[in-house]
Amino acid sequence: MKKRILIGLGSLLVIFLMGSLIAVFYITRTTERMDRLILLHQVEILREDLIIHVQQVQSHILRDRVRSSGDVDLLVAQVQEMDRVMDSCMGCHHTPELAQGLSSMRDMANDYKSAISGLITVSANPARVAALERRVQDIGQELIAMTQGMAFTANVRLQQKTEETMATIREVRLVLSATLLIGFLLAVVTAWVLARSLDRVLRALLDATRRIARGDLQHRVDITDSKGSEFRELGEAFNTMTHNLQQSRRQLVQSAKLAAIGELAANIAYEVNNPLTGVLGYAGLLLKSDDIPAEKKEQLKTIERETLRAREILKNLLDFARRKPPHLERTTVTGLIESTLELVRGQARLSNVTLRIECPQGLPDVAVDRDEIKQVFLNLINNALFAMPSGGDLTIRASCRRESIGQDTVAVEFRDSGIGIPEDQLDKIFDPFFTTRIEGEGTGLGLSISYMIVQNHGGIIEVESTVGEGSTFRVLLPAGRT
Amino acid sequence: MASWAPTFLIVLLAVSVFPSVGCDRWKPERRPGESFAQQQLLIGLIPEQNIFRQRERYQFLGDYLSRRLGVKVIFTSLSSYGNVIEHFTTEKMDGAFFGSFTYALARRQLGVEPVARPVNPDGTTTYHGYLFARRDSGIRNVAGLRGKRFAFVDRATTAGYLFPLAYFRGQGVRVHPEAFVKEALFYGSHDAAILAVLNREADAGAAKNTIYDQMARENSRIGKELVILATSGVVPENCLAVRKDLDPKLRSALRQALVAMDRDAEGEEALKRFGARGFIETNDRDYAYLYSLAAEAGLDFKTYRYQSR
Repeated sequence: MKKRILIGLGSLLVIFLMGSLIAVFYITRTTERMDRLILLHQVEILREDLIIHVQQVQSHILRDRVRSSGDVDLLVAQVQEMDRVMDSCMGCHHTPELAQGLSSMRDMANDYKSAISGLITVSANPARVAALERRVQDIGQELIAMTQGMAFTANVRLQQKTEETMATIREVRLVLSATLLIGFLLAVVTAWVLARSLDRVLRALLDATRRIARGDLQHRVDITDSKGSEFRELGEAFNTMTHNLQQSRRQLVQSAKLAAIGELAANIAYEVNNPLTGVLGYAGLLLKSDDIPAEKKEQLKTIERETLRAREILKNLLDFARRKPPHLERTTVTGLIESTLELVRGQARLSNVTLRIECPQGLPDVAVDRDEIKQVFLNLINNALFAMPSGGDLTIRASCRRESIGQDTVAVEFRDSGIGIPEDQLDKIFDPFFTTRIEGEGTGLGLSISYMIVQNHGGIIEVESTVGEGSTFRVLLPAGRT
Repeated sequence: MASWAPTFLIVLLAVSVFPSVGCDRWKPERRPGESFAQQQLLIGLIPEQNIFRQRERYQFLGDYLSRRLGVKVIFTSLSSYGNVIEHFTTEKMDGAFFGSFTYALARRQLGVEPVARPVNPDGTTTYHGYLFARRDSGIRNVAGLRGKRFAFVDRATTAGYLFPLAYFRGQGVRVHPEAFVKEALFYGSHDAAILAVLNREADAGAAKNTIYDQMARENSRIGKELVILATSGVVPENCLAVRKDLDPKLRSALRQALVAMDRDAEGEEALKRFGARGFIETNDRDYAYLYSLAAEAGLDFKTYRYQSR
């Protein structure tokens, strides 16, 4: 999403930049044209200036015949001014045609100057003076005509340039308006796309939150964003949270159930134990008496045996209900697994089950009641073997997880390739007396007791199962705590 | 402290330097011990072939002298058409760069004092007159000039009038030369007189050597078609002379400034732009030949009433 927002903002920036560039380009073009136009106007003023100056010189020569020093000074100043204006004309860049015109104008001006010099320098011969004066006037008139001709050409060009510039300004106005409009539309579209994708994800999350609040812990959000996107990560974190919540709730319910059932069982066991003691005592007495025929004694033995079995069940119940605090000692899970396996290897071979043990070196120690944890492992292995009536694989894997800083958890995983547990039974497997075995083969207390033992060690048992593929029981124990 | 100190120094420096730089051109530096009552000098110029170039050249000289003297030097053009001497007086000029003939007139009639004259780039400070004729005219001496058309320049030139006058007299012509020839033509400028002979408007003429030689370099026809009959002695080139009542201190300061011009870099630069090597001191004795020429021609500068026509 971050990427998308960045791309969105980036494209907005690009649109803005492009718009600005277009604007700057067109404004520059327009100002250049305007500058050129202004320059042309200035040139036009220069030409008019030039005409005025040549006319001044002409009228000066015509008016009086340049007698006094003041006259000469004024004439020289006027010609110099004319020259300066012409120099500024020549200083600009011109088309070759115009440059040629200016060049011949300059030549003519030089002729004019030399004619004026000749007129001023001559000191005798009135006829020659008159001829020189005529020559000066003729060249002057020609110069004026030429300048006017050029001014006319320039005027035509000026008009043409003005029209061109006006056309450019109109074009610029159009382009800038279009740029503004397109930029605005593109920005709106970008913003809408961004908002829409945000909205979709937020709605999915909101919907999921509501469903979970209603208790639907099975619900998972599905965010099909590109891999690595923040929303996808958020969705995954959300799903993990829901999963953990489901697990916690299951454990909580389990604990409550066990506590209630335990209390009930203890009461029943206590109440039933007393009469059973009587039954057992009298059965014993009868068995010791000699006046009981042998076939009756067999029946009495059955009574005694079944009563003893009932008492064993009661004892288990009492064990379950009145858990003693575990006797903790530091040990390795690897050692516990090994010593448990010694008890089940034979049975596994008989059941055609391959055992795989994966215990890496360097696992932290655990502080546990060895007998109790061995009982848990034994129970889980037995259950696994039972779930694989026609053989299979049982993988026992130990690993270490770091839950939070300074707190490691040792996990022992029992993965079988058995029949698996249906989803609807997963919540019940830790309940006392819940069993899938045929009556008489199990009490349904094994997992309940295992659960209680692990819970008393500050750990938990997790279960994952897929019908037809197998089940995984995971015993999580805090590392190194005594 | 450290950060603003350099800025402050730069500003201080700029403030202290700027006015002296900015006003250099307009506020002439005054040399210690010299100050003149007069605030400006109006100097006349006799027009040359290109008056516009002439004004530019003399402007460099004027700027330099203004700075040196602490007196603003302004130039004005003396129209050569008309009475130069009269204009000099009526227009209240303090001095002028006179030609040799007009100097002699001004000296004799107004008492002007010569100051200095430029040394040409080729090292010359004088010129002389030529008397020439068309090679194909057959004119080789004064006898051949009788009944021919003669091109003078102007009645106020040494080479173009005084020298041929003296030549005719020296060759034994007793009548006025203007009457001796069939037609006395006045062309108003040296180049016009030379061109008139070259183009057969006249059979012979007189002009100054500098113009003649320059034209001969540019136009090979002159060397081929014209022949020089006589050459005068040398007379000083354009010379700056000032009115007789000008403050003598200012006059001598002016002379000193001009003569010493080639000895400082600024002056050298101004000279380069002006188009001269330097200036040499000039006094009335330098015109001895001119005065003798006038005497030979029977022309008295004191009483000569010149009116160009």
